[in-house]
Amino acid sequence: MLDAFAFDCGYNGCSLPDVLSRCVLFASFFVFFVLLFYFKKVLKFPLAVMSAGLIVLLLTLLPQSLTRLTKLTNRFISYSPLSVSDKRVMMFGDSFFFSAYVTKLLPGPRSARLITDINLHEGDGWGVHDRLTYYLYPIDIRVENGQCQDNTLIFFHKANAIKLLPPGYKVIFRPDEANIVAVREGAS
Amino acid sequence: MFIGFLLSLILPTLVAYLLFRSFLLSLGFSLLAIFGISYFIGLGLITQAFTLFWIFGIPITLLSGSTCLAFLSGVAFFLPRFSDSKEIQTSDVNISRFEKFFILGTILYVSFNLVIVFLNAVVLPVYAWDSISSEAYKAKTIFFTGSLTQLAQAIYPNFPFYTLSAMTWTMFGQGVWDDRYIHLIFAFALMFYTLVFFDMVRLLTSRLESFLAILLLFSSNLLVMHSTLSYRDILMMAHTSLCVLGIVLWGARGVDGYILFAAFFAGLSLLTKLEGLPYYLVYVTLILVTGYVYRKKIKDIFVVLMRFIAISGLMYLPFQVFKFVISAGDRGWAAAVVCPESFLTRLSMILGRFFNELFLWGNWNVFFWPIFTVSTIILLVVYQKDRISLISLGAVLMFFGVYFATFLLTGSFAAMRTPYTISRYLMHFFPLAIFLIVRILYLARKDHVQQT
Repeated sequence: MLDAFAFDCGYNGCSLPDVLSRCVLFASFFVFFVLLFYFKKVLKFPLAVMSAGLIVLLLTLLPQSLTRLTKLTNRFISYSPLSVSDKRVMMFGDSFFFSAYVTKLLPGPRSARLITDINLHEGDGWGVHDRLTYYLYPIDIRVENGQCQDNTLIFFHKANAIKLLPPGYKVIFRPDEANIVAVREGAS
Repeated sequence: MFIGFLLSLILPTLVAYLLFRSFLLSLGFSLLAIFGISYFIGLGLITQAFTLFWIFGIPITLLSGSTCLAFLSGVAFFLPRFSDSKEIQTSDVNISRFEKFFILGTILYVSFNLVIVFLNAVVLPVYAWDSISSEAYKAKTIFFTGSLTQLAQAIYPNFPFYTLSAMTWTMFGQGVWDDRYIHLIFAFALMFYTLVFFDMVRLLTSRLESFLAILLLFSSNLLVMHSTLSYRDILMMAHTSLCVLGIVLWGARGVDGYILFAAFFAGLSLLTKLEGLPYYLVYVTLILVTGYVYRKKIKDIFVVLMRFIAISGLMYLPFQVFKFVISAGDRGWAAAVVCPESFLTRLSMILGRFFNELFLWGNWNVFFWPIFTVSTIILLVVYQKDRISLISLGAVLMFFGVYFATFLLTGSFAAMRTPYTISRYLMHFFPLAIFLIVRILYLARKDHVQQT
């Protein structure tokens, strides 16, 4: 994300912006030595070096700022027309979408058990777990809390979820076969 | 909702302003800078209030927080006034036409960047991984439970909660949990930090160098991006660099008040990130070195150091009590793990990684670290008698040393290989590198003016 802002040669391969940024880079060094040669005649060496270096830095701020502006303006343009919920759906997909529905159905604090086929301890699964934990709260799905009474079961991306549902549970939300929310009958 | 969010940021800032205005004026800060300093201290007051509420079993709510702030603003009227509040003259040289043009350009450039930052801060809700898992989620548990107890079961329970208490407090202000404006906390942090940094550099150089310093500050892409994210690094940068500059000012001006200022920010850095602990050793070493370099009496250095430790330690104490009660300990930072790589392999990898992130990646302006290197050489060759520059260089080298040693000797080596990790840490003392550059320029300019 950051590398596209400016002179990040070699990180993203040699795309056109990289080639251009290298040209600017080498041109900047050339300008530096020309300035140094000029300043050395009128200034003491430390001031000549510092002045030449800082002037070149200031010159490179211009293309850098333009890249930064383009990047951030693009982000602003693509996201600003959307509602906050749409932005979250766009970024987090069904983990936000699902959580938003569940928290509407089950308002207030409660513990729930999350059952999923996603490996929550590896790669993208970490992110999914974090988002669900965050967006579902005050429904607490952390397995570490030791207080889960299994009154609420949340099946998220779980194949044949309905077949795994233990007896005595009532399905209250079922957008598809892999995503189900069930509460124990008689429990609040 | 937005008004509530803004008010929740303004209120602690105003309370801190009332409490510290007189003291900070006596140190020569401008009113704008004092307002900026109050922003950071104000959020620190919220953190302390939340921790103390938890310790004494008081629910953490908007009402309890507001009552505490109201009480503190009342206390402000009984605090002694500092009579020696005279403006400290800075050593400005005559400003030429070119310099006026430069100052105008800097103001435009910084304003333009701030507009970009604020627009991007509000365009997206919280989305970064760390922001969600170790910040927003924990803040949400405080918001809903009115207690810190659930933090014990969350990820990284030993992480300080300066940032997340600020998040919870602003959500209290809104009245509902909606994270769409949370990034603004960090955008405001950048804006206020710019004001304070400008003023501190002004006290140690001249106005022209101060403008150059803030221009260099905004030359970092990483810094600009981090002020649109809810990561703690930008706040850590503010607290760390202001603490070190406070120590430098104490040495340079001989006013003990700067040590109290530094102590406040040392305390805040302890409450912001775990790195605050190793940084604390840097601050203490720096006080000793500064005292020695300025040939202060051992007794005076000892008294100053005790004041520094007392204030920052007192600020850290409630959080330490919290950690003790929830048995969080200090795990997570630099845990010693045996690395499969040999010592030499690790050494070469660390050097390579530092080189890449300093000189080749786009987190900084491509000329920034080369100019810093040149400035260091000029300092050591030409201006080795300038104590202010030497102390600042010492601070930067010690911060580098902290990470170098940590990566080399502990299991954090694995974390180093994640892209941008080093750059995030470098950001904490990036302003000190800027200060060193502008200080050398200031000395070179002064030399030139004296000779012509």
